[in-house]
Amino acid sequence: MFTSIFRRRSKRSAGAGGWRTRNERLIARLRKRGVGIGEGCVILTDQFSTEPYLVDIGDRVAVSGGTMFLTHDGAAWLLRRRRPAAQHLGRITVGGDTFIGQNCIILPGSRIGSHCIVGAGAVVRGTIPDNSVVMGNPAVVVGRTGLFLEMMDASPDTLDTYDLPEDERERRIRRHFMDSGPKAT
Amino acid sequence: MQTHDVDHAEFDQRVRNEIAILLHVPVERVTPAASLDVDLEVDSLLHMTMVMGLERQFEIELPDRDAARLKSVADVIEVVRRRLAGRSITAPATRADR
Repeated sequence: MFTSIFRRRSKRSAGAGGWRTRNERLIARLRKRGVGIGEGCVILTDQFSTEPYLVDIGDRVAVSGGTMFLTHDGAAWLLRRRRPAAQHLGRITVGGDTFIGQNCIILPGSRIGSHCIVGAGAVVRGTIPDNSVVMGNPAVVVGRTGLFLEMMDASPDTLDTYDLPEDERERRIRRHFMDSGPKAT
Repeated sequence: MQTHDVDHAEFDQRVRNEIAILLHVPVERVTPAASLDVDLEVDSLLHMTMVMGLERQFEIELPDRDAARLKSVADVIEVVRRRLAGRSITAPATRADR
């Protein structure tokens, strides 16, 4: 449904609304459902469970596709054998300036700090301190955000291609990784 | 060999031992000339693990900009030495010493 948050759409689709417009529409729908979403966010998932009003996301947060915010523990299914109306619930908060990768699962009661990076596929539980890089299941702190960003900045595979027209962007990326120039047509 | 040369050599060895433990490689591979990415196959995750492990063991904090641009074992030894230089004469004992 959405392109990577790291890509601009081509002029053709940008003219039809572009991913930014679709993102704004999705955020508006999510806010209507009760999800607290700050300013300047990019949200590429609509998986906010059955109690979306228990989720609060700060400013300038990016949430990648496939990520799920779980506000209740489905294992209560078993507890309901003896306590028929039981539901186990939890709030989820995400601090500002945080990035959450693809296909993460954010469990009930999770508190993700500010300036955090949650690696793709992570299963987050409990509290993630500010400025942490976390990965894995369960997610554990593997680094700090400042260091990770400096490493990314210094990496030879970090290219200044984000705002280029798509054909030029592809050309430069291919040249860097494959040295093959433009795709043969 | 002068006393300060022995101290330097001893300190270098301590850092090398610690790097070997953090990267799970034999200390023989952790030569000063060894490059982190090619010779020791350190990817971004291992790089962060190494930096944070060294900070914990030597009770220092390395500036992110310097820590991110470490290329060789010699770079690592130098940056740890510089960080310790202004703080104390002797570095705290690391688990490599125990």
